Amino acid sequence: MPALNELTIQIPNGISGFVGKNGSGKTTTIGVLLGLIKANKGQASMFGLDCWKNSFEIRQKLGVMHETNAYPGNFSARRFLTHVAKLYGITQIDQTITQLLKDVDLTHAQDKPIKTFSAGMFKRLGLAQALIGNPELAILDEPTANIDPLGRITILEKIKDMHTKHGTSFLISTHILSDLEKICNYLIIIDQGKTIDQGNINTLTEKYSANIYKIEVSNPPQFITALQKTDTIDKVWVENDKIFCKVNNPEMFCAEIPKIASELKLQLKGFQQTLNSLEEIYSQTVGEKR
Amino acid sequence: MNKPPKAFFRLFLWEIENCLNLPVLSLIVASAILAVLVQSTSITGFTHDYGDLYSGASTIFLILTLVTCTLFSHSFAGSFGRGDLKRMLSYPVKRWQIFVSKAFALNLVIFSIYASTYAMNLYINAISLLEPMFYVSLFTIFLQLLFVCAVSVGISMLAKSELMSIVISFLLVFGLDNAINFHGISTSMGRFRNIFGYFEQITHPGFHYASSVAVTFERFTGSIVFPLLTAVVVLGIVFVYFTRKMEID
Repeated sequence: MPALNELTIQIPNGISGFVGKNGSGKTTTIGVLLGLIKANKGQASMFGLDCWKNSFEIRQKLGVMHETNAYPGNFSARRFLTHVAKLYGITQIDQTITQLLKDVDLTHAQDKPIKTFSAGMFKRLGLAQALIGNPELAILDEPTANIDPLGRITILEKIKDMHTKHGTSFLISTHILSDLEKICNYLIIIDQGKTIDQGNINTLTEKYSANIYKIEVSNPPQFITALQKTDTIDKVWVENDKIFCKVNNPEMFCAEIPKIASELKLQLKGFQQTLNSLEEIYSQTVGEKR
Repeated sequence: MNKPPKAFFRLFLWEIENCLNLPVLSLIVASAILAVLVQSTSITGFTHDYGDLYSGASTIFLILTLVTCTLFSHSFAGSFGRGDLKRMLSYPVKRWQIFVSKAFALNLVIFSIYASTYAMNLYINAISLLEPMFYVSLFTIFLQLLFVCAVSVGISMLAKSELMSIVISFLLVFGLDNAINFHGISTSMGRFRNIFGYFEQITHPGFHYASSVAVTFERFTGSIVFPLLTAVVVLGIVFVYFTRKMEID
């Protein structure tokens, strides 16, 4: 099975979230976009350029932060960023790096060896090196993974600040959907190498929240059997002992639920339309594929 | 944006700085000094004799080979495992620039360490700076470095694991030395003996430190061509593979 299959993603100006299960193809997609991996069939293109043949030209417009913290441990943050800045051909290196270090809150640690950095500082350094060439698009792979909540908030604020200040667009690949919810305005969901859905967050929220209901009962399997006999639902699935139903006739469905529970003598613990969160959208879209 | 030659020079300097920042650099220098000193243990005073350049060469080749295998595997195979290569290829640099800068920088650093420590012989054995056999020895060290560099880089690209690459490269180079005739051109000491012996015949007729039997021109050229050709072919293939075909995941 190919890792990616007819995957088309659009990355608009702004901050875009890129989500999918483990092994869904997120990191592979980033690898293909950077020209690290060759598409064995078809073509991958970005900025209208072939990702494999023109990877150098594409990378001139990109900033990338990989998931791994592969930075030269014996270098100081300033020395490392100086080297990166020279590769980008930046002329006012000292000034640029001073500003970047300030932007990512690393001024206090600029002369310390990178190997002494905490996980949060590593991520902030990664963010700084991704933004050093003032790229059109910054691709961040798991920017908030393995760091504490306060560190995550700091990183997210920095990303938002950078977008506001410099107009840099971001593509953020992550599993932490609550993080995306705070800063993203566009979402791309992939699974098994295919795009499941993509669009403006508000549009997706409306699309997936309309007719989805969450039910909590004392005996979910028995309740599902009864539910499936009605004509009001299109799909039903279970997540964490909670029943989710995609409904085609909400009014009738809402009237039937208490009736079914009472007929089966089951305790109806909760019954509500799903919240408009990314986690809900994600579990519906990827859940449907299961 | 940097022009390619400028970007290459930047990368080259970065690689040099990377090498100089290696935590084991002092150990590498110490091992090189030790290798030179071990060869001179038989000396009790100033001998004015170039023969000691030959007598202890096997220790230098042993340590040089081990150090070269380790550093090249760390730089090439290690960069896959650690994710360095992935990061480097996110910057606007070309693949050939990364490959060539790594190879140039490591060769330069290792050769500088060994050439400067080997020069201690000039003092220890009171050999003249103009002694041709000193430069012949340095040339042979350079050939060995190039040969091991090619083997290590080739294995690194296949194994993509630092430890595996060190072990396989070292075993391969020393396997050749032990499995094949010790005086053959495929062994490090065999090549050294042939090159050193041939020049010895020309510059110091009547002395036979390297070989009691005359070294033929064919053996001499074979000893130069074998490591050079191996290095050019292996590095050429690896270079084309790395710059055109290799996927980094």
